[in-house]
Amino acid sequence: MSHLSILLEKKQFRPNESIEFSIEWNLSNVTDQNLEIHLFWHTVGRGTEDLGVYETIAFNAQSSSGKKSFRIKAPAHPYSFSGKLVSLIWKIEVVSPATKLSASEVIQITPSESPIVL
Amino acid sequence: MQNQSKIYAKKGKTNIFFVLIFSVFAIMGAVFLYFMFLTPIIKITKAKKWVEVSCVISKSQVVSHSGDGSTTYLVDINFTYQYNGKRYEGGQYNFNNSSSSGFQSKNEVVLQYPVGFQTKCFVDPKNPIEAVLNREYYNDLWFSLIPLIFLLVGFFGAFYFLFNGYQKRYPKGMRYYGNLKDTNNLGKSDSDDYFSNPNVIKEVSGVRLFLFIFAFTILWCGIVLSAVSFTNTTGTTEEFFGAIFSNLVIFVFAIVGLGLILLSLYLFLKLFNPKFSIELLNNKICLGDELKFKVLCRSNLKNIEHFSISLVGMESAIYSIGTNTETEKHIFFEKDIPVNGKLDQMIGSVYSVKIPLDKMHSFKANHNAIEWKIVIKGEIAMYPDIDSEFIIKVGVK
Amino acid sequence: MISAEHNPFSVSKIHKLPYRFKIKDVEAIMENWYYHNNQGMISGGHGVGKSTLLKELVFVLESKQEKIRFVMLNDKREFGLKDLWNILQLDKKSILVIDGWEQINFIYKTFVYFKIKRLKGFVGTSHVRTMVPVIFEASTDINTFLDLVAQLVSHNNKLSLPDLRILFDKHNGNIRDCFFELYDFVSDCDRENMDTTSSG
Repeated sequence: MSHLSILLEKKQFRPNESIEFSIEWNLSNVTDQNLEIHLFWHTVGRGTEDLGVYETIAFNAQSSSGKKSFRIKAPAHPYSFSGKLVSLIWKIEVVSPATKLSASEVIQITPSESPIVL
Repeated sequence: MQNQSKIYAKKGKTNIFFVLIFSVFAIMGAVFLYFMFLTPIIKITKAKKWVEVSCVISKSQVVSHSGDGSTTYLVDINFTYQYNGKRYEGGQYNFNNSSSSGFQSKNEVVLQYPVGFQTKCFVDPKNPIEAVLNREYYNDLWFSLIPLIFLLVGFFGAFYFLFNGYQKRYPKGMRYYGNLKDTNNLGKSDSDDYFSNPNVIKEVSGVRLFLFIFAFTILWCGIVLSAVSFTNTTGTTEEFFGAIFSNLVIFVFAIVGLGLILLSLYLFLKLFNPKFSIELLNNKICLGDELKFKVLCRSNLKNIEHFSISLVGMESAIYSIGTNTETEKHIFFEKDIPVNGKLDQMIGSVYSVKIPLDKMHSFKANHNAIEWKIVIKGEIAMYPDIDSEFIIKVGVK
Repeated sequence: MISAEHNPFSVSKIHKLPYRFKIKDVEAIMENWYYHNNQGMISGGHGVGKSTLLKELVFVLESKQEKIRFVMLNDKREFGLKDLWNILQLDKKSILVIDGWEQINFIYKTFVYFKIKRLKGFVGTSHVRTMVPVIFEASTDINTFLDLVAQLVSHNNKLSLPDLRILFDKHNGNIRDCFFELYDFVSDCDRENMDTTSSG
């Protein structure tokens, strides 16, 4: 059965820090093996969701299953934060456009280890 | 201290509503302008080619009309003349058919044309029954231009709401279906300009809002007064719906008109409130920094009581779907900045406040935002209070 | 304070709720749509799920490989000249979908009315009756509302909520406004001192 997953050693990063992660995939019976990785943020809360894609990496898996490591530089801002009306959440997402399969992991981008709570 | 305010704004239907309202004003303005101004102008122009003949004054008096506590007057002069062997009786002094206040000026005209006086009149050669004593432009013609205001305000108002509406208040939203797609390149905002502040932040002028409300108030009250005079002078609505119903309807509209007048007055008085501006002394403001600034003001401050300056951090969320938009705001940080000494000593002094390190920097997306601002408040007895906000961009190191 | 991402009534969680049908399935609505020559409007008051239902209908149409042109209108997404021009350019094989029909001013509506007669189909949402036949009247009832709330808070049995029936009546069946009030209510809750009762 096809699946995608993201592997992270840690989930809290400082701005401009290097985010290292791996993508594991198993795309059985899929001819189109193109995958896309997105580093993006989105808002959650009282208002309509906003979304901003910071970085996109497109690559071809070249095999039905495998694992590959990546490195992305975390942005300087916006920070992850939790408010009463709005929270901003950063995510790394991997998508297979052909199969519509996806996997994502929430990460925290803040200057200190503690989350920002308004 | 936490605070929450709710702003509910409607769009969509409101747009058409204002288009229709302003269109009605424009049409009424055009109609009144045509009959009160253009028609006399056209007649006077045509009358310049009329034939001059001798005539005799047969009646000369000032007629009065009373109503609603005031009296208006009209010149009523009849004269007989002959044209192409036929005898006619004319009744038009000039092309102003409306009565107005001011008995003296009408009486002076009547005294110039006593009964039996022989003078000249002007006859339409194509239609000899039409004749006039005075074919000159008259002073009251200027007042007939008042409907032009209604026409212009109505036209530009309808034009504005038809093609603009409230669109410019917010940036354009995205078109999406199903999964969220990136809005408008919000992901990357690393440029230095993103968090830059001007050296001096000025208060937003309230003149435009005042002018808009004032223009709308004039239009509204004009309609209400017209309805009042129509109901009382003709009596036709009383025949159909009864005096109580027509007066109730007008009463409701009059209450709204009164509210608009009070609002206009409030906004007008607010224009004369002291105008503040903030001079920032930091090149760039970041989380954890000591924000330093001066408060500037060129106005007289002596009547201000309970003056305060504070630093406020606020999150806002807009939900929009269908015809409705709701904005919710929540203050997550508020700190009063000590203001020592007399008011006139405060202006020009340097103030400082620390921006907390553990909060969020300035952030703005289409529907959600984090804002930092300096808020100046002051109470003035028997006058609109001061409540000025100056948005500052707080960035990251 | 309950933060935004933990609030069960955040917009993102509400938008993920599927439309709760009173009738058996989407196909019944589609039959009604075909009966009216592929023209139809979903009407109903505020916050009853018209937009949600419309998206499900579009999903069905897309699964049938139909060519869809979707226009979603709201306060910040206004119908302009460019939209009108794009609609007038649509070919006869297109199906036009407009969410928020009442957002369009009457002048543009006139042009769109003439155009949709020449398209393969049209479906939209509107608060008011229009010249397009109504294929479904969306409405809500208290049981639907209670089910939706139960779905949203299913992972949190300790959450204390106000009387949901009173809330539903207060907002005249507008579920969206009910959710807004529940969001505000929950966001003020003290996480550590939540009651174990939940009403409804």
